[in-house]
Amino acid sequence: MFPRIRELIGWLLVGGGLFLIKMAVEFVDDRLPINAGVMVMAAATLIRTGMHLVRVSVAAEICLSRERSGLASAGDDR
Amino acid sequence: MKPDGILQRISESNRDRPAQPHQATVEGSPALFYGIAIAAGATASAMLFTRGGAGLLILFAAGLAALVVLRLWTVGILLLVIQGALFAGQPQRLIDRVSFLDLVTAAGVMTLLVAGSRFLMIARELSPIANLSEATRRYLPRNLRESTEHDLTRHAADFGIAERGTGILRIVLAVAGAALLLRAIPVDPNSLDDAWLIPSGLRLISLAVLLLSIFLVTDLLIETVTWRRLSVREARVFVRSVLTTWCDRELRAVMYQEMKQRRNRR
Repeated sequence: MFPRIRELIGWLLVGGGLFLIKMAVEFVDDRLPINAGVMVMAAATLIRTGMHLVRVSVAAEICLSRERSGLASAGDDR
Repeated sequence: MKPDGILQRISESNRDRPAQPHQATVEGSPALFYGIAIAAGATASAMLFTRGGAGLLILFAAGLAALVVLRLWTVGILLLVIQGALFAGQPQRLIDRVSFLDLVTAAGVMTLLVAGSRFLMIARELSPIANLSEATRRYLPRNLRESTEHDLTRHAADFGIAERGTGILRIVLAVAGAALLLRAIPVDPNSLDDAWLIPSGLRLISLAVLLLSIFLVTDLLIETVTWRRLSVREARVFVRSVLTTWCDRELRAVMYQEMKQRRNRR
């Protein structure tokens, strides 16, 4: 349960970063590259943070699935 | 708190490891060439963000040259240099300097990159910069330090004719391509005055923003697909590493302290 919540938070952060990238592209389209640069830096921070949370959650899910399958096979042996 | 278990064994094995022998490079005249190339590249690249005259140009040249030498303080030096430009720069119209300056800018950036990439190889031959580089080298990670001392050592006395020819051709092609690309990016004169930048600088920032956006999205997609193919063992190592960072910071502090002491003993 907890890894799922953490993964959801990570994806929300990634979504926020993608929205900032969209704003940055619009700034570049309006010939305002300085504003776009600030937006891209913020977007990079958000995406990196979000992806880190997602990575941890995915790795934890892989470990937990192995443990669950190990417990299930042990239960079958009994 | 003292480390125990696996951390204790890692610490002891690192302590017993013998120090790597010092290897001298045999670069002579190429070192002088790259030293001049660094200075020229830094000066030319400094023109990218300079609108305030010769004093500011020198400030930028010194800052960019320092970027090559003090590799670990990149962000701090960049912020200082940009702040200096914002305080000292004078707004003026430089829209007419587009044509030649683009070429100079592209050449400067390429020269700086080429010189900087080769700098570690010949750093010991450049005195007194060599001493400064040696001082900063102590703060590099262990694996990077070993690779710079051994893998990047060039044993040939000088360059061959074919090597020089292909090197010059590659640089000329890259400079021409970069100049054409920069010329193709449109700029708004009002933005130039708002940002206190010359056209080449504004074009470069626009290009960098777009490339960085594409990189971020591509990296996100690739990482999303590939990360789920982790093996169980890799996943366990990663989770333990992250949990150590999050929950057991004192263990990391102990290890860093021991590494620092070992470094000082050398």
